[in-house]
Amino acid sequence: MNAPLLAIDGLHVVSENRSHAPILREVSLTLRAGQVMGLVGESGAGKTTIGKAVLGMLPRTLRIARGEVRFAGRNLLALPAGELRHIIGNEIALIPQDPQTSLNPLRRIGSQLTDGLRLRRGLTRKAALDRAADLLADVHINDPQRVLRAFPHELSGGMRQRVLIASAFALEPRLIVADEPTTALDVTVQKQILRLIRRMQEAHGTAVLFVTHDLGVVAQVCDQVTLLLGGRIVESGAVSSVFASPSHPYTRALIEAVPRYDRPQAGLRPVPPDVLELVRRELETTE
Amino acid sequence: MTALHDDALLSATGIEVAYGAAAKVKVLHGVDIAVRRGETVGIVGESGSGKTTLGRALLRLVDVSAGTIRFDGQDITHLPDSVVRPLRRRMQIIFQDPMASLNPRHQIHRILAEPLRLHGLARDEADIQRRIASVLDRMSLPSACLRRYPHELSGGQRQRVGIARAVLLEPEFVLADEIVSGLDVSTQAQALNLLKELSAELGLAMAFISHDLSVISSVCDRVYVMRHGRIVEQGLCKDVFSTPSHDYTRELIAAIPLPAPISGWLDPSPRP
Repeated sequence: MNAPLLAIDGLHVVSENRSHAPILREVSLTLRAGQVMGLVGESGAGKTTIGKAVLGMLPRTLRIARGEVRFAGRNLLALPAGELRHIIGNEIALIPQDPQTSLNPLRRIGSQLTDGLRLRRGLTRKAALDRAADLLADVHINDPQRVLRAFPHELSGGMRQRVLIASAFALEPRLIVADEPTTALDVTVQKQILRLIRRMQEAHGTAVLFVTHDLGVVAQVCDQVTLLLGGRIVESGAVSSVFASPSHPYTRALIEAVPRYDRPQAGLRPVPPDVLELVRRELETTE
Repeated sequence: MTALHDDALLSATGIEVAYGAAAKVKVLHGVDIAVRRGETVGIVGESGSGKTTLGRALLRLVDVSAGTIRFDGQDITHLPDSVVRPLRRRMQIIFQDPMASLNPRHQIHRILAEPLRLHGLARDEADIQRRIASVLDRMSLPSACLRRYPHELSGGQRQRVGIARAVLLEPEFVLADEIVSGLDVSTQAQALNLLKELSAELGLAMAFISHDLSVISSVCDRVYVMRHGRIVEQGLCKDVFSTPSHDYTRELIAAIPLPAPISGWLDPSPRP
């Protein structure tokens, strides 16, 4: 077995405000090259915080108390800023949630897509634009030349998300953090974008940390799943086994809380109070 | 369809709505919809389908350029505001985002009491307090939240305040516009169960707008599927979801990721 690409070990993150409340509690997980892991949980579970820690983008209001984030064997948390900047961007990229706010509204798509290629790969403007056009074709944009000249507001939400996917893959990173990349999209567009991320990831052998609140998306897109609650990992494993036979009652309850058109008679089942009580007790014992 | 419209509490036929200069941009192209007493109908569609505009048109919150809206037998399509206003108590709306629809500078008590006073529904102040206490209890909201501001409540609590404000006025028709789309699944299940119980208890007619077919299927009796300002399919939920007749409905259903791995789900769906 080769070493994992990403290994998070005992990551403990606390809030910097008066409360010093733990946001992540001793989180450990590993991700191998080419794997897609879903980080899933309800709001406040800590899934986004893990993604931000990997990207070195934690807000100032949070502090890493202990733990390691090892990427290709190196602890990112201990690296000098210059080296970290080199890794993040070249080897770790982000697909953000909101294509509306993640693109600069005043710059054409072409200049935004070529920034990394010119600055980090030293391509000429012409060569970078050619490469960007290829990337847009890869994400099934039919008329790359028009899109390269367009401003973000001239594109639909689905098109903007394609541009951001192209941008994330531009420098051939080994790891991509996808932060709720389809939450703002209609379901039919979501399915196209999910397919695209999966196909690109398979073609390039990229590992993906897929942050989402949607258990359905995890089930259909990811290989591995890590379920969080209150900053703590509740359950982790292969998607096929976790969804077929969840080992934790909270996992089972959360899966059953999702409404399903194919079995409406199953009704709407909130997570039962005794399961929440069980999880609360487990949280206390890990303090 | 005519039978459906004959005994409907709210019935709209041939609804057209146009926006923009000289009303050039048509967003609804002749929509028919009916909601009977005690019935919850779903309106499902993607962004731009016109579902929200249709909801607003039903409540006379946007003007229609063609068509007829009848409420309890009365043609309300072109009634002046002064005549519509007393009807508004009987047709309530619950909004998607309670953070935007509850006044951030008012405590919950005032948010709930003001509509009661405005519509003169309560006999006196004591009656207002009684009604508020009773609805809070029904919503499983602690009485302490009456002295809180909207931002001090959780998302689920805020949404229950939005529901409480609507049902306090003893409406006959309620429009719920994407009311659970921002909530976690467990909170969403609680809110939807509450809404189902309430509509059964109060015999409400309800129109439930959502982009989520799974949510619609667990709450609604009938469903209208909208696309590009038209209704492309309608029927009982159990029929539409098990044997959809329109390609677009099939496409929508095939795009819902269920929380159970289905091999090949991501592959382009073959045209049935």
